[in-house]
Amino acid sequence: MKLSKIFRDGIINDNPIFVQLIGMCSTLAVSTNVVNSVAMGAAVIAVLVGSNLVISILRNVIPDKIRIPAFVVVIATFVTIVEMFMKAYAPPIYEALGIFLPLIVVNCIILARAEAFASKNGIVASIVDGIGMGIGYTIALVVLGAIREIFGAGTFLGMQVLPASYQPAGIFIMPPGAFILLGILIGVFNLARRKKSSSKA
Amino acid sequence: MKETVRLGIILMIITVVSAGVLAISNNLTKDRIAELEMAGSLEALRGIFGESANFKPLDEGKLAEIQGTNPAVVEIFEAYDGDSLTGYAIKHTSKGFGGDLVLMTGFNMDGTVAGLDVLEHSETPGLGAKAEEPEFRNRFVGLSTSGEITVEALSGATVTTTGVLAGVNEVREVFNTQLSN
Amino acid sequence: MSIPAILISTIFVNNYVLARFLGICPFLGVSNKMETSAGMGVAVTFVVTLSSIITYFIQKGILDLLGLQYLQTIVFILVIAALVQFVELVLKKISPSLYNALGVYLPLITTNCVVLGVAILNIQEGYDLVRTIFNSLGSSIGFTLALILMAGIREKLEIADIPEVLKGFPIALITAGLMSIAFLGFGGLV
Repeated sequence: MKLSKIFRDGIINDNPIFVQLIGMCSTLAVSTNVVNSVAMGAAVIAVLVGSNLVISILRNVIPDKIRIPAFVVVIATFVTIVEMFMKAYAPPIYEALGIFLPLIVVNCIILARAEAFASKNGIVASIVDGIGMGIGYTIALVVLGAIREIFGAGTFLGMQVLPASYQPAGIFIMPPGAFILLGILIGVFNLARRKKSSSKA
Repeated sequence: MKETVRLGIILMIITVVSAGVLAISNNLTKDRIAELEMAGSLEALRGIFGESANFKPLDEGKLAEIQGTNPAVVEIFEAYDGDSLTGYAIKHTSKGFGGDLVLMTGFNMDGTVAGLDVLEHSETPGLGAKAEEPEFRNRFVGLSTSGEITVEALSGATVTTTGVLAGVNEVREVFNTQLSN
Repeated sequence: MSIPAILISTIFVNNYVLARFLGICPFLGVSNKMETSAGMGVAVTFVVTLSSIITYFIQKGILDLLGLQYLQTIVFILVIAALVQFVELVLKKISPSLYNALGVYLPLITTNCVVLGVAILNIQEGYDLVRTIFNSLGSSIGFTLALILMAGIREKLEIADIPEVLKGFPIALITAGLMSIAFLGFGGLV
């Protein structure tokens, strides 16, 4: 497989949120604004690349029977490291992400990539897969975060973008807004993919 | 049986290595984290008592005694201007609309409120979350501690306001009965 | 918080699925049928409560004592994974009928973030053992409630006329959003 294809698959064809529909919890919870989305995306990319790398290195050493617990230990280690460094160097973001930072451990994206890709492929391919999937996840998060922030607070990256007379629709920032918006976005993504495949055929 | 032992040992090695890696990164970050936590309180304290004030945590025995009757109290700081004690700041929790509020309320020795800071909250954005803004917090400054403290409620966030007031009045009692004399 | 307040808060006001976004994957994945939803709910309630009690003792008895709090995530997830395996083995031996009913859901529970989420939140909130137990019970009942309500709606959605692109996941998410609005009505109850 070509590296560029692996990379593109992660972002578009196999986008973890819009296509594989995994890793929903953190997506819905932290995408209240763009900054949180980017921070969560960065944390997931770091964990994903790290765990893919280590698991790819160890793929011939870890016996098949205990691979899942072994993967989980590796993933939990990277998550805790990311957590510590965020707490030390970016405390406001650490507070904003809250419980969803340690919960990256059970984010299906990470374990799914370890199981489906890194345990079967070489080091370089695994790193590229980690970056691609991580960016795919981040893009979905940022799109969601941008829409929620603009309509829910009238700001983008904390700067006022809509006129002050705009009464922010708080529902976008609250939980219902997250559910409904993500549902609609997945529908739009489906529509776009379908148009593309029918124009190809 | 032999196979099980072998698998167990491999898994154990992985876990031990992981724990070692974590111990190292914990050592790298823990000082900075502790520093930041102290700095967080300090920033709130300076916001209430001014940049030039000094602070000292209250004697632990006395704090424990106060916490025995007022479990909402988290920490208490003494505020000094030079050598003279000017007031107390109490870090405490109260119930908001979306969860617990963590507040820092400062009292001057002359029996007025020095200031209020909202350290943590999970209130509704745009409504209860406005409790964080100076516009609301400043309503408390200068109020007398001799009677029940009240302020104008935040519009659309009565529960948040009630929660803040209940918390402030509880620690006002603490200040009046156990600290001010 | 008092115990009734904890129960009302976790079941209705701060429902783990609809207000805190924990356990979305099984919520959307297995809420197709009423029967499977109930089964999943029971299995989750059981595992969440048991794992919270065990992690409570591990936190207080080992991690806090030795100053190893930074190993929390890794230890908790291993405990949960081992517990799920153990429950599976025991159920198979003791009650094959219960195993047949719940067995399929058990492996899925390890990666259900409600389990790890509740275990960590219990510690963060500083709950004692009794509050830990009731918080775990309340949150898994809240999860089950959301799951069963969702299944009830989705059984009706099957026969509804929905745009092709919204079928399945998207419409389920939009439905969850509407349910979440309804649950906002419980706000301020405790």
